[in-house]
Amino acid sequence: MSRSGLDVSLVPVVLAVYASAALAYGLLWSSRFRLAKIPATVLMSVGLGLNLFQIVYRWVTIEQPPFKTLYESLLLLAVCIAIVYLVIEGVYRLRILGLPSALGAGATVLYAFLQVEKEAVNLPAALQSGWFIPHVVVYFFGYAALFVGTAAAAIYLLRPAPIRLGRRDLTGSREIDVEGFMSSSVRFGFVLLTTGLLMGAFWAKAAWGDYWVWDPKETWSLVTWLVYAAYLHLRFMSGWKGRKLAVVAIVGFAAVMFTYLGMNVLPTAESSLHVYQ
Amino acid sequence: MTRSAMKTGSERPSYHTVNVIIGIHAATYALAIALQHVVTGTSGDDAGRVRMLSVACGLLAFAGVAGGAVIRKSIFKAIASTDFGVVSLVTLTLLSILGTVILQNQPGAVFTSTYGSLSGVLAFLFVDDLFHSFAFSAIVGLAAGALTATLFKRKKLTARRLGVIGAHLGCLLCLAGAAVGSVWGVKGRLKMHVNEEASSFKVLGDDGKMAEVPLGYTVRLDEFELLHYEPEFRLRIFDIDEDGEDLVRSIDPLAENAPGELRTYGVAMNGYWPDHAMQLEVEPADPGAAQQAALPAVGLKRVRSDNGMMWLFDEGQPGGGRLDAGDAGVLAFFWQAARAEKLLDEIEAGGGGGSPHVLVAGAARLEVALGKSYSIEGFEGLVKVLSVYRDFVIDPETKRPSERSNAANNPAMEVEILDSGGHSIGQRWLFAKFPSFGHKDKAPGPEMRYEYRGQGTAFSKGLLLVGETGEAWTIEDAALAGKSSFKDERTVTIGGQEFVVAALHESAVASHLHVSRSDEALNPVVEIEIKGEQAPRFMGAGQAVEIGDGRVLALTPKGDDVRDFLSTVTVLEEGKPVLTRKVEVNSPLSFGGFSLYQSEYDPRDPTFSGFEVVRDPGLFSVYAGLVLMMLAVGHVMLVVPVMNRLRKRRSGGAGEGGK
Repeated sequence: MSRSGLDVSLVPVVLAVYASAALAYGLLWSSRFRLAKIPATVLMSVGLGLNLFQIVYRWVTIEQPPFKTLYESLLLLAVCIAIVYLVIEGVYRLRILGLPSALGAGATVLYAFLQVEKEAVNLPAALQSGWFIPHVVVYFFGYAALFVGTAAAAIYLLRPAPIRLGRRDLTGSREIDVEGFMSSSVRFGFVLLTTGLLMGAFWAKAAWGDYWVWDPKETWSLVTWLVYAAYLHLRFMSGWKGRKLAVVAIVGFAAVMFTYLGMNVLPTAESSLHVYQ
Repeated sequence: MTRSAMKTGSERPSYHTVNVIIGIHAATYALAIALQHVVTGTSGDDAGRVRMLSVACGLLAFAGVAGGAVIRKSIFKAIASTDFGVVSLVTLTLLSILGTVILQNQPGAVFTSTYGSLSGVLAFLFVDDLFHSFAFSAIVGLAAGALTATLFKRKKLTARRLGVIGAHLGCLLCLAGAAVGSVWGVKGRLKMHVNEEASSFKVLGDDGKMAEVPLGYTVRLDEFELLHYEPEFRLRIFDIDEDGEDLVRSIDPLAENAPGELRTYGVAMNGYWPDHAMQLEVEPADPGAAQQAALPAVGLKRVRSDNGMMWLFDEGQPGGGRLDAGDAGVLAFFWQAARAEKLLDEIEAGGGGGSPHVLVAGAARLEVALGKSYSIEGFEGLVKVLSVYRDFVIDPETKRPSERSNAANNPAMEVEILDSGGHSIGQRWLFAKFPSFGHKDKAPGPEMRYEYRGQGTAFSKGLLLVGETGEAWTIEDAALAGKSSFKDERTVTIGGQEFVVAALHESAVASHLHVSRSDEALNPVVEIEIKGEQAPRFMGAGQAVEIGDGRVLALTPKGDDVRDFLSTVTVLEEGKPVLTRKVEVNSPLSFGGFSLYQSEYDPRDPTFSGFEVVRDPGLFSVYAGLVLMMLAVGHVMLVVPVMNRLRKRRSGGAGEGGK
């Protein structure tokens, strides 16, 4: 029997809500539409709530964690982006990242919507592990944090000046240094990326007897880790500040996206155990 | 580590430039390639030895930078610098990407056919096994040297530096553990069958041949379980072009909207049976109607059995045949006593059999045998019988044809069409109960169908039922053992089994109904009609048909349905069991220095189990490194910024990150 249902039907609704949130956050970029603040946050929260409901509903329906297929993982990524953004908005009173975050979550849901295979598939033996949920969730929160960091990098390239806040944020600051914010997001994402990578190594050892086999997906996970490790070290090299670092952050996220979605173009991916088919 | 602490002009050695550092990496890479050529030759050596020497090359590069750092303080500062670390990171990044873009560990012929003239250059640079090349190890060695130098850069250990030290030390521990594992670790395969014992396993030796490595104890495979999910099938529509196939739609044939979805692609779905079977319906022929293929028929039932009616049709008529009744032997039926007498004569003369497989082509009826070729009137070539199945099904695991049971539920025959020169020009599947299957295949050859007449190539035992007299002739040891009446539902006994004749028609019409024996998708069949075609088609598991517009419709398994595979293993020492436990994926057995990982199963052999056997003396170091890295990265990235913020608040000055 088919094991998909309400969560699939809700995809266009979630997409519409995230798109509306993006529109509202977009209006906030102009000082004439300050009143859009609350509707924007509400729409983003509603989008997150529905998105979260999709995952919980699917989890309950299929009786297994819904993180196996590309469709399922895209729903999870959208949730992670929305959560990370809303936490940032709550802590830093910063809505300038709302537009890219809502667009990012919306684009992710749109890509999920375009997937032909939306059905749940059975978990193979290797995925029936206690590592499955933490490994995937930690990685996707890492991706979300890095996405927000990349959005900050793009904003920094457009407008490097600090952003003045209407009122103090929860850290007591009245202005946000976008470059510093970008670095903080990347740092946080890097911690999660490292944790996810190392959890994967532990898991692979338990499942197959090898913690590392140079599988293309594993190797690209290492590539993203190395790029961000280079980013974090570059900050201490003379001449590597500001715009250059922002570009490296964007390159790093391109590596993340390639690791996540681009593996199928690699000639070595055929033998991969980890590639979304 | 703050920016002010890192960058003081007086600390910078005179040659501390990024270009020099890049030059060091490039030279090391080139030297390592040259060294690999000298040690192993371009043709390569055996994999095990190359890997070991590769680790040695990494250690050599590490020793080189470490030695330089010890000899001169300026070299130490250069190696411990962030610049050196970044160059090492970038180099490793680029090499890692290269290793995913270029095929790895492929046979020479594959490599050559893929990369053509470039393959020689790639092989010369050892890019074809990049991650085990001397050059890659040498760069890792340089990076390890930089990590080590960083650890000694600052003597004062502070709470803020704990994370930096831990992260770098964690990386070093992982690399050290990996190196130890590569050199002294053992990895091999152990393949067993249930109730087998093994005291050793096979590994690929340094000489490239398989070698036996003793475990130091004995393992016995007590039990093996291969667990499945309930099988499911999907109707999938693919766009086919020269670049390959793209999935357009995946439809659950059991879903209510499946016919509607298929209709949008010009396909009408008439029915779907997850566990398909044909059910025979026999009714007396209507004398007033324009008769189709009516023939005499008798319906038997086993006494004290819930099985349905068994129908036998006059063996002398087209479409008639025998039944295999197991211990009861063969059941055959003639309406006319004279025809039965003739068969009896043949039986008693040692014949009376013939092949149960009949190939019908036009007016010809050929009793065929497996592996033999036959000429068909009107066709210049030959038809060769490749395989026959009594209860054909596509095995969901192997995706290959197989027997579902011993009963003749779905007889099928695979034939090969040979031209007049004896060359194969195509193959075709013929299904006794689905004459329309395979007829529209593109394989050339004559029109033909397959009839299955039941078992009993040698009719030495069984019942010969005669319709016009209402008698059952008992055959034993290829001779008539007796005659009895089966009228009025009298019991007839043969081979310890009792039958009654429940129906007898001199002229009956048979029809086959499609039914599903269960809800499980064990033998899925879908009936479809494609726009522009006159007759419906029946598709079984794994079959595909063109539906126009460059599209193909296929009935395919939804996905892998193996849920788990697990072995019950007993460890024996000096013949005595010391430990029994289940080994499954994600739950290995560790004993006596070796770990057994469940790795293989054979869907065709339920008693087979395969294990990966691993001994990795570097594992503890790797694990310690991984844990240390996780903690340290968290400390550097999350704890230190908080410490900075608190310090900033206390001092009122600027902290890290410019906040």
